[in-house]
Amino acid sequence: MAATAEIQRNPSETTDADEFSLFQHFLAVDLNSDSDSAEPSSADQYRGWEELVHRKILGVDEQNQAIYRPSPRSSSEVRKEPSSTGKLVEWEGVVESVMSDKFDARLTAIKGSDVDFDEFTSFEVARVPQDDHDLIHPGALFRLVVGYQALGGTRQQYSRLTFRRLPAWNQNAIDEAQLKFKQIVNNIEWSDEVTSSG
Amino acid sequence: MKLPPQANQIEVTVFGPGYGECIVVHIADGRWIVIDSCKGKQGTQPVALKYFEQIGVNPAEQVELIIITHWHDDHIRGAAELVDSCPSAGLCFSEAFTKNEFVKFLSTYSTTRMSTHGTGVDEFTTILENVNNPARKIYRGGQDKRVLNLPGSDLSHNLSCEVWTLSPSGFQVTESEARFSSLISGVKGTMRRAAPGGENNHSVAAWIKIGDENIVLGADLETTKDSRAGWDSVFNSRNRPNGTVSLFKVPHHGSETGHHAELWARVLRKDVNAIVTPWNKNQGLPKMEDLDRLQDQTNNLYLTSKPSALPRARHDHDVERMMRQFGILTKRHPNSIGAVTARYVPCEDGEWEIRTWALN
Repeated sequence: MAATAEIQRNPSETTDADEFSLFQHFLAVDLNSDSDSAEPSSADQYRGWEELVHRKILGVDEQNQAIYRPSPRSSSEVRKEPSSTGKLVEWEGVVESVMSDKFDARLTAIKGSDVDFDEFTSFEVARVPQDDHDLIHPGALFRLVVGYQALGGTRQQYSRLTFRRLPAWNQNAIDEAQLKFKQIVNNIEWSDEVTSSG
Repeated sequence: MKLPPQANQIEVTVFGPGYGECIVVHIADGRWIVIDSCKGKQGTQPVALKYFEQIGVNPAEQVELIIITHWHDDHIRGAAELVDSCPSAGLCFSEAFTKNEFVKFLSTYSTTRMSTHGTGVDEFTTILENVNNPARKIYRGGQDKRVLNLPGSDLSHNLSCEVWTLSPSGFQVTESEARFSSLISGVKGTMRRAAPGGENNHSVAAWIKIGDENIVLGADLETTKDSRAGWDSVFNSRNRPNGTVSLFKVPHHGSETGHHAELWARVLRKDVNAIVTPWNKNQGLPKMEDLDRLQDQTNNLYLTSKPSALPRARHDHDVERMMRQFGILTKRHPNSIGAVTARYVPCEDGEWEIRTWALN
C-alpha cells in the first residue's frame, strides 16, 4: 500500500526569519513492496533525511532540545476591531424633538430586519457618546446598530448609537436651490380670484 | 366602505390613523376634493388614493382640488404622489409658502436629502418641481379666499359649491416668515433634516359651502394670544362665509390650543357632528380633559381611531431579544387606518349618516 503525503507549511505560521515554503514529500513507503528504491541508500542519507523531517516538518530540534510550533500572531496581526458575527440590525434615525435628558426619534430599519414601517422611540442623551452631544438637534441623523461581535474569541452582544457627521451646509448648493425655487414660484400663474363676502 | 357615494350625496371622510391626517370630500357627481395626505406603512399608497381605488374613483379625472394645509410630515406624507396622480386637480397651499423666507427655508433644507427619511420639505419640493402643468390651477390659500366655485347648474343636486380658505391671516403670514427666517439663521455646522416644530401659524383651515350646508375643516389651526392670528382672526372676520356649520373637523387633534369657545357657541350648530383625528405620539392628543371639553360641546363626537399610545413595533425573535437586552423599545403606526365617513343627501329632511371604520 502506497501512502504519499504532502505538507505545505504556511510561511506566516513559522517563526523562521527566512521566508521559504516547505514542500515535502514523504517518500512513498510501500509496505508490500520488495523494492528498496524508496529507502535511503546509506546510513548518512537516512540520518540526513530523518533530521530534515524532524526539524522541518515535526519542528523537533534535537540539538537544542526544542520543539517548534507555529507562533501566535504578532500584536500587529491581532484583530483589534470587533468583527460582527451572526445577526446585525441597523436603523437610520432622525431626531424629532429634544428634551433636557432625552430625545425622541423616528427610526427606519435599513439592515437585518424586514419590517415595513417606521418606528418611534426615545433615547437617553447619556446613551450617546459625549463627543456627539453637540449633534443632538431636531433633524439630526444617526445610526443605531445592535448585533453580535467577536472580540478575542468571545461572542458578545453590542449596541451603538452614532450620530452622522454630515458635511457642513454648502452655501453654493443653497444659493443654487434658492435660485431654482424662486424661479419656480415666480413663474406660477396664480388662479386666485378676488374675494367677496359670503 | 366599498361603495362610492351616490351622485347627489355629499360625503366627508376623515382618515386619521393616529399619526397623519387626510380628508376627502365628495361634492356631487363623482367630483372630489382632497385635503392633506398621509400614509400607512412604508411603500404604500397615500391613503386618499387607496380609498379611491377601493370605491372605484379615478383620481386622474375626478379630483377637482387638492389643498395642502401645511408642511408638517403628518399632513403632507404622500402628497407629491397624490398631486402627480391628479393632473387635472387644482392645487391650493398656504400663502405663507409663496413668501421669500419660506422659499429660502425650503431651498436650504432641500440640499440635505441624504437620508432614507423623507420629510415634509421633500414632499413640498417635489410638488413644486412638478407643478409646471399649465392645465393645473394653483391657488394661494389665505384668509377669506374662495378657491373653488361651482354653480348649482353644474351639479346634479342643483346646489352651488364653494370652497373657501379661512387662514392664514396676513398677520400670520408675516409671523411665519419670521419663523422660517429664524430656522435658516440657525443653520450652521453639519447638515440636518428639516424638523417641524412650533405653532402652526401658516395652516390653512377651509370652509366648504354646498347650498345651505356648511362644513369647516380646521386643519391644525390654533388659537393664539394675538387676535390677529388663529381662530380669533377667523371668527372676527367679516368676509368669511356665513351660515351654521353642521360638520366640523376639530382642529389640532382636539387640543386645547385648537379650541375657540365662540366659534363653538356661535358658528357651529348645537350638537354639530365633530370629528377628531388623534395624535398618538409622545403625550398624545386629545387628552382626557380635551375629550371631556369636546363632549360638553356636542353629543355627536367621533374619533377616527382610539386616542391611545401607538402600538408596540414587533420584530423577529432574535431582533426582539437583542433590543430587549439594550432596553430599546419602539412603537409604530397601527396597521389599519381609522376613518369616519359622513354622508348626507341635501334637499332632503335628513341628517348626516356617520360611520367609523378602518381602511386596510
